[in-house]
Parts: sequence; structure tokens; C-alpha cells
Amino acid sequence: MGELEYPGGMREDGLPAVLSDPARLAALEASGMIGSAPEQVFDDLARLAVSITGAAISAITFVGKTRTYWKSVPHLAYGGVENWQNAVGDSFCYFAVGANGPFVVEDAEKDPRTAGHRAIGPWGVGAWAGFPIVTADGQAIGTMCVIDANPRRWEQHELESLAVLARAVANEINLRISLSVAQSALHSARNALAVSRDLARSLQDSLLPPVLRPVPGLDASARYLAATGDVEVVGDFYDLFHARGPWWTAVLGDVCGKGTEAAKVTALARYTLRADAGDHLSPAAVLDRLNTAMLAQRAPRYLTAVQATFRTTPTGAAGRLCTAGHPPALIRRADGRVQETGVPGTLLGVMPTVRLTDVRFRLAPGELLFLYTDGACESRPDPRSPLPHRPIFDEEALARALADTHGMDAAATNAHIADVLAGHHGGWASDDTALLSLRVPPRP
Amino acid sequence: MQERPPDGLSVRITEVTRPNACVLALLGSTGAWNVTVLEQAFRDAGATGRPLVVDLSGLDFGDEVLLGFLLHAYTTPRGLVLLGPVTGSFARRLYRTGVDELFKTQQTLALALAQLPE
Repeated sequence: MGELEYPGGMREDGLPAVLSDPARLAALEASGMIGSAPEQVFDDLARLAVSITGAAISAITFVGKTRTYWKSVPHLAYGGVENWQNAVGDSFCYFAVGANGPFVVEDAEKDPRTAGHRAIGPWGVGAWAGFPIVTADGQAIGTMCVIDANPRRWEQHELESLAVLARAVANEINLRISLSVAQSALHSARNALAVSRDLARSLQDSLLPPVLRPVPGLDASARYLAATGDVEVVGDFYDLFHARGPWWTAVLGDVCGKGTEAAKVTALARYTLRADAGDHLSPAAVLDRLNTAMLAQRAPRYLTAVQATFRTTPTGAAGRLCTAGHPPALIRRADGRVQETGVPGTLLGVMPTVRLTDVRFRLAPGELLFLYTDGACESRPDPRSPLPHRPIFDEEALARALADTHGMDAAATNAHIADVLAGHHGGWASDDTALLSLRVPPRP
Repeated sequence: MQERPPDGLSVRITEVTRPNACVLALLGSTGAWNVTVLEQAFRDAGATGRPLVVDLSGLDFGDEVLLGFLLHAYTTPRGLVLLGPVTGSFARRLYRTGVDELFKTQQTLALALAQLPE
């Protein structure tokens, strides 16, 4: 048997060195063909090879470092994985793999490349023709081959058809590899999404008080309504905390945008407000300091906020309130009327000089101060919905809805507003919404 | 000129050479579902390197994110003029947030272009 030259040279056992190439073996492993059982799609292609060439035997094989694995040998009954393979030197398949090209023999006994080869006897090889199965990245991992018991000439059209069938096998395998990679990527993406969702939820939770601290003589409740389908942390926040002496501070803010940049500003705002509210009983002064802090920290987002500093009194509650670029606060009077309060002030984090104004407010027994983010006064149905167009649920609509809560406590008021919003947007919330209600309980 | 498919928001970018300007026209409504369209529009407009005119006369609703993009454009040295009339909820938003006096707003394109820096 004459020695052949292979592009990658030869191993010590005289077989092509490429059989041991890690990249090729990795491609073979990725194909999932090693030790796999016969499949109809491959058997059909192998039978087609017989029909086209008139050969006695056809086979689809995959060639490893030391073993050749048979994928399809239609003329043989499947004998299990252990029997459906042989030593790599016991067939001609490695010739085509080693050359990464066709290997065609018309008379195996006389051809100097195969004369005396140990595969001739067991397989009864008179003539052999095979084409490599090549992966998308160019690795020859197996063969599509035909065998005849007697020497014969292979016609050009037969060889061309055999090459097409080898490419068909390769395409099938490449599609499977692509699908497997895509499924793996999808799995990874789903895992990453789940992690991201958990992180966003944890971060959002950390930016909102788990429960509102009870204020003596006041009924307080907050509610956070997430936008539909959102997994990103958002910038709506609220807080209620003791400022100093008899004074308490309620604050509700909305950082523009979502994601970690918004979360950073939210955290900065919450902790700055908590730190400064004890020093200044003027909400305007506290928000002004927050503006300065945001500019100093080069906050990447702007913020709107409403802050109230108040104390309870024998006749209810009283304090001062300031809005910074934020929708006006609403006060539900004891008789059910709803009044806006707050002077429009400059949003925070953009301009070095802001115009902020404190206004005084009083709450009598049964009256409620309602703070909210713009999700409550800009609610819109999904514009992609086939349902008839509905107008924006605006500030006037919100005021009317709040008037309908006459007599309700803080939690019931928030729940009612949440229900009205859901009814308007049809279950598709375009924006996150924070609600904070402070009510002086009615006298018994 | 560059057109985008409408998804509640239609965007048109026109580059003007005399005077040097980029006109970004927003028609419809901005919202969470088209924030990427809006972001890309401002990015494309910024990539022209030209002073910016944002035409809000066809805007039905502008959310907080649109205001954020306008504020960002305002802080760049290229210059920004709004083309109105700015009406409805976005006019209220500009007033409520105290930035209505920050932006130069004109009622015609000729006046808006005339107010841009050379």
C-alpha cells in the first residue's frame, strides 16, 4: 500500500494527523453524531446514493481519533452503539477525512493507495468512492461513501451526485448545530433575564420602604404600581420618615427613565432627602440642596419630586409642601371636594438655580393629602391595541377619581385609584406609578 | 430625509444646509413602547453635527423621556430651538417642570432657523 500525503501530515500509525486535531474533534463532538443511532433522514440519503450509483453498499460515517462511527449503513440491521463502529484504520473513510476532499478508488486491490488495505476483506471492497462531510467551519468530520464488491468505474455524474449528498448530510448536521447553539443562547438569555429581573426587583425593593413608618395621629398608605412587562428598575420612589421634633416628612419622586442610571439617582435622592430633612423644615430648602447634590454628583437623570413636611395637631395636620417639576399634590377635603396644592417649581438635577416655593397646607379630620407620580395622570391605553382610542387619563380625571373616594381611608383610596387606572388602561400600564396618601382620621 | 414606521410616533429628520441645521420633527405620541425610536432619532440628529431644531407642532403627547432628550440636547454646545406651537400636555409639562423659559421656542421654521447659532 502506497503512502499518501495529507495536508496536515501523518501520525506515527500512518493515519492522517488531522484525525487527532482538537479543532476537528471538537467539531465532531459538537455534531452530536458520535455513537448516535440511525435516523431516517440519513438512511434516506444513503439509499439515494445507492440508487444513483448502483453501488452495493452505501454508508454515512463519522471519523474520530481512533474509531469510525457508523451513522447510516442501510444494508445492515442496527446492532447497537458498540457494534455500530470500528477502528479508524478498518475502513477507507479516513482517506476522505484526511484529505478533506473526495477519495475515489476504482480497483481497491490494484490501486497503490489501497492495495493490501485491511478494510478490503471484511467489507468486500472492490471499488470505493467517498466525499467528506464538512462542517460550517470547514472541518471534515465524516464521509458519505459507496462501496461496490467488484472493481468499477465511477461516472462523473455519480460522483457529482455523491458530493451533493455529502453536502446534504453536512447541511443537516450544520442546521442541528446552529439550532443547538441558538437553543443554548436562548437558555442563557432566559437565565440572564431571570437574574436581571430578580436584581431589578431587589433593587426596586431596596429603594422603597418595605412598610411605612406609622405616624401618630395619621393614617398613611403607599402603593407602587409597576408598568406592564417591565423588568428594569425604575425611578419612582416614595418615603415617609421622622424629620425632627414633631415634624415628619413625606416625599414622592420620579426620576426620568429606567435602569441602573435611574436607580443611582433614586438612591442619591432618597438618602440626601433623609439626611437634609432634619436640618431644614422648608421642603423647598431641602429640594434645593438635593438639586445641588445632583449637579455635584453629575446625576445622569433629572428628577421631579413633591415633598411635604408636616406635624399633627390637635385639629388635624399642618405643614408645608413644595413641588419641583412635579404634578400638583391633591387634597381631598372632608366634604369630598378635591383641591390642587403646590406652586409649580423647577425640576431637579439640570439647572444650578431652581425656583421652588413652599405652600402651607392644613388637613382637618377626615381630610387626605394625595401625592402621586405622573403615571397616575398620564395613563393611556396601549396604542397598539385594536380597541377604540381613549383619551389620556389626565389630572382632571385623577381629581374626579379622588373625589369619588370620599370617606375612604388612605389604603382604600390608593386601591380605588389603582382600580380606576387599571380600568382606563385596560391592564396595560405604560408607566410606573407611585401613590402616597396621608389622611387625618375622622373624629369618632 | 429619513422616515420611520409609525408606532404611535413618526419621526422625520431633515438636514438643512443654509442655515446649517438639522430639523427633527416628531409627530404623534412618545411613550415606553417607542422610546428606542425616539432615542435613535435624537442620536441620528446629533450625529449630523448640526444645530438642532425639534419640531413639536405635530406632537400629541410627550412623556418625561422626551423632555429628558430635549434637556440633554439643550446642554450640548450645538444649539437647540423648539418649533411650536407646543400645546396640550407637553406644554403643561414644560410649564410644570419650570423649563419652559429655558428653551427657545419659535412658531415658524424660518424663525427657528434664524435663531440658531451660525
